[in-house]
Amino acid sequence: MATSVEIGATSVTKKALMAVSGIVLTVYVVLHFAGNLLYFAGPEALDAYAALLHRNAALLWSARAVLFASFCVHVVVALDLYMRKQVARPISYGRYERAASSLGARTMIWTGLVLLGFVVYHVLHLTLGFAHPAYVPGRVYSNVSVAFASVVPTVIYVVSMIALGLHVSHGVLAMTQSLGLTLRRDRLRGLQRLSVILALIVALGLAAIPITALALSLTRGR
Amino acid sequence: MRIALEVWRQRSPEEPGRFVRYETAEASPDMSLLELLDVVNEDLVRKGEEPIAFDSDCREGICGTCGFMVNGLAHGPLKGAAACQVYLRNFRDGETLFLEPFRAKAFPLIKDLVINRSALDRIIAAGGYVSVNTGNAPEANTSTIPKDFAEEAMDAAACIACGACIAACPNASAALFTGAKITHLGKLPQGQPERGRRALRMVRAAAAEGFGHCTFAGECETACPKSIPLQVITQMNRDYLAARLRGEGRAPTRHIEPGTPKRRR
Amino acid sequence: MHLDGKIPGGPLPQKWERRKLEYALVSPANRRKYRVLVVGTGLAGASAAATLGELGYRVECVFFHDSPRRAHSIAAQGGINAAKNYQNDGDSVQRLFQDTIKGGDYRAREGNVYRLAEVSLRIIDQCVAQGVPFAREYGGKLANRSFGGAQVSRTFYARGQTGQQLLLGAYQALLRQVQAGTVRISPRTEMLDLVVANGKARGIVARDLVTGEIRTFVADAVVLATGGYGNAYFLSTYARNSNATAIWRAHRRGAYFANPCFTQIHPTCIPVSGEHQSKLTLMSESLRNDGRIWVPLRAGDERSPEQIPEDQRDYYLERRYPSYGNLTPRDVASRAAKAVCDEGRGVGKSGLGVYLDFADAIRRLGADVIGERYGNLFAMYAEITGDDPYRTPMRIYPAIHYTMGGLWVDYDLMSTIDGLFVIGEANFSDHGANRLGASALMQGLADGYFIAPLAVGSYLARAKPPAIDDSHPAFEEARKATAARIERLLSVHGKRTAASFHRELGKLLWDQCGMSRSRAGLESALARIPELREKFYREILVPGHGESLNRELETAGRVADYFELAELICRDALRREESCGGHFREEYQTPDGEALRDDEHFAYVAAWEWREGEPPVLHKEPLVFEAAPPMQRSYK
Repeated sequence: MATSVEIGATSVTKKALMAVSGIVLTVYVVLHFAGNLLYFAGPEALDAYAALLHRNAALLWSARAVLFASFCVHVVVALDLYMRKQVARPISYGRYERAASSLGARTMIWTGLVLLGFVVYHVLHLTLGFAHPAYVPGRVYSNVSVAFASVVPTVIYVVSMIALGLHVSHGVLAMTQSLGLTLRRDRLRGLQRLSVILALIVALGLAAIPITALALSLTRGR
Repeated sequence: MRIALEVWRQRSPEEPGRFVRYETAEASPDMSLLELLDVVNEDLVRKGEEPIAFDSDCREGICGTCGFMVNGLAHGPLKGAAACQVYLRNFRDGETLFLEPFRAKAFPLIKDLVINRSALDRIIAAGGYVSVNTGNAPEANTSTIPKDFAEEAMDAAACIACGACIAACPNASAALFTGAKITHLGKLPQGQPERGRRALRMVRAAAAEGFGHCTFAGECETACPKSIPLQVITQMNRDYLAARLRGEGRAPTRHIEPGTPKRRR
Repeated sequence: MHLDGKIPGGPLPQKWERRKLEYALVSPANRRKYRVLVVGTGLAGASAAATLGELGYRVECVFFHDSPRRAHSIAAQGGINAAKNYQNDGDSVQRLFQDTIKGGDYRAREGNVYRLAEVSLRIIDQCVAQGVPFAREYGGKLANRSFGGAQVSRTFYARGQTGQQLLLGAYQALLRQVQAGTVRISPRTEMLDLVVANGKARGIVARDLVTGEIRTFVADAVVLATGGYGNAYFLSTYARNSNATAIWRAHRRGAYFANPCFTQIHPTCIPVSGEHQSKLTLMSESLRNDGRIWVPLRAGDERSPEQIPEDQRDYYLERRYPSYGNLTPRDVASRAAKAVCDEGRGVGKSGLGVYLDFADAIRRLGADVIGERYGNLFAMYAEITGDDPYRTPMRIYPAIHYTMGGLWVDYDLMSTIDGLFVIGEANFSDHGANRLGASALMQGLADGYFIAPLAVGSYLARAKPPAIDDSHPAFEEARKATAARIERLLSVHGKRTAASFHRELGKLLWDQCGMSRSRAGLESALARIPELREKFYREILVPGHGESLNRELETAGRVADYFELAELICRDALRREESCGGHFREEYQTPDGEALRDDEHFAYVAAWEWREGEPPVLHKEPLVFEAAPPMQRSYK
């Protein structure tokens, strides 16, 4: 019965990769969210902030590189792990109840896929200006206002932000344990609450922008 | 009381299985679920049919032999109880119970509700022990262990290897089982010398058996009849990653012995 | 045949040292040439297999569970004794020895018991080194609790799961050897016969429980660690699959069966609730540390316990045995419970129960402390009965729990068959007529870790068993006999299940050969059992076939052996015309109802020899007491 132990990437290593890339992505989301709040401060503030980010091309592109790499790792490893799930249980249950998982935990792969689609759309939409009716580089505020004057992109964004909230609410919790960081039960509870609060803030805050833009254009149009 | 059972019947791994319905009016609230199966089986035998095969032994929740899904939940609806500890007073009169074997690639089915869980033994064999031969032990009280550590070790050591954590996990991961042993031994001074090696070997053994990955959904903790806390998984990840980062088990230690061949500088 | 216990000479404390020096050794390089077969993986089996593997023998380990960790040692709750004297309360090897001899009512061998007490010290060391998480004090040192039959605190424990933790220690050591390649395991394989070739035990015949294949295992020595035979009584605290087939088959092949009537009834079990009950659940004896046992003073008092005022309660153990109180040994406590229930003062629906009340302890220590000590036991009780022991007293009643009797072995744990070693509960062991709480784990591990490995090695070195394989006629014969027995059970096609016969036999045994026994009852049982056995072979119904997993077939085979065993139990109980330990004959009691021992006529081990087709023959091994002269066993 002797067990042979082979060297290779185990799921623990893969989950650690998920966690590290997840941390990069979460930090980015929080920063992006904080910057985007300038939308509510008016066009000058937001455009100035955008200009600031573009001032140092080297810094910008290295940040983008790290972000892109993390994103790729996160997606590829997630898909790899998800495929293995079917391998680990080839015959599924006739009846199966989940008694403990949070909504976020249950929907990780689906919210993840929504976010994958969203990120592609978002970059094309507001970074590169494709699929945008009147894109002007550097004029962030007006780009946003124009983009969300119609209902369809707004709905896409809001739905995606709900997905983001769910994804973050479980992701923040899971990545700490994947890295072996939360060993105490009371801290785990605290972290659980913290991740839900963070998810709520980020999701509500980011969803508020397209909703506000849509509302403004509707009131103006009337 | 009246209880109906929908039981997974499968004569052998090769033949297809299906749910078969059994009605019984002989149930009483003081009866355990397994005793109900005994009654159904005695009936089947008297009718000349093959009884439902299921594993059980101690029937007090400590041996870990029994276990199946009851209405989609490992060991049934009670927290902190094995299937043998579930009494019928926990169900409604007239209720239908779906009984299905634990399913995972690493738990091949033998018959009906009986599965082969020897994969768990192989995970332990990979490193779930302190390497100490009989006769080597120092006087017991020379090592002191803070009470809290001993308690935490005991919390993890309570695992009965029933496989419910794997059965309940959406990914059929054995993280709670593996983490429990790693945590038990890792909390004690006796377990320190092999701590990193143990984590590496046990985690790799679990992967080799075909168990899935952990997504920290928490199903295992709720399904565990001994309520082993989720943190054992965190501890496992920590010990494993720490050992990987230290490069443990990769570079063989250099042996310098008198007979080592001499080479030119 | 003269029964020689082969106890070494010299004063007690030097016997084991002396024997160890007398043992012949096998050199490390030669050990791998010997094959040792270990049957069973409880505390004794797992520890013996692991240790033999560490020493370098080629070990084959056969067991019917799906994993070595399932063996019923796992269910032992309370603890393990050792004469460490960490509490400075006057404990010593000598005191543990005396307590055990006295607790066993002077029906155990002095030499064995002294060795057990000596080895107990090293067991704790070994287990701690393996990482067994024993309970600790705040200072980090090992904690102790007290247990029935002792006035010192010498019991080490791991919550209410001591057996589990000790077994996991041994199991892990075993799997380490499996990984190292010295031990090979065969799970889900049940021993159905012993093979004796040229007068020596050379292997077994076993059935693969999944495929039904009849397999043979060849070895140079066979170690049986297959546990006790209490399941003959049907309702017991044993696991469902614990059975006597391995030792019974060895008995039929020539191993003497010693003291079969010494069965232990545990006083604190959850009472029977109904007809369908499959087993009885034990509540650890440690509960008696803080719980007080009582029944209503008046017979037929049907008030709920809270309504019965203090002065109308009878704390009968405290009243009758003031110095040990609720911690009297198991046999005494069980009989006292039966006595009050016989008087009509029993509680619960069936009238077969007494209260175990924690109200005082909760008042004194608080519910938190009690919860910390017994939380899991309380939860277990609440789950099974639906009552909350924090609020209302537990109801308990005695149940079959352990068998002191078993295959006869000499000081080296070898049976009357050369090369057949029997360890743990399977042998007749060191507990005499009654085992003290927390001593079973001690004995299992002493046998497995420290005694059997040396004794087996010495046997191999001296006997040098010649090479043999399973084409030997003895293997052929045993294989055929096993197949024929299976065929016989399958071919009856009667109308009754094995379980229904088991239930009937168990009830008969419990009524006539349970807590108290009488000549008339035993004689009637001896008349009934053969009738029942014949009926069994006429009416048994085993569905399916032998070539696959077939639980009914397994059960039927075990029940078939229980009939013969039950007869021997009753025969032995009838022959032993005295009361001692777990064996209480109604004819032999003091005026106040205590057991009346007869040292003049019955200070011997009764070893029974099987005879095919005729009554078994009794051989007596006289017991000599030098260090602990027999006295009236009083716990007053």
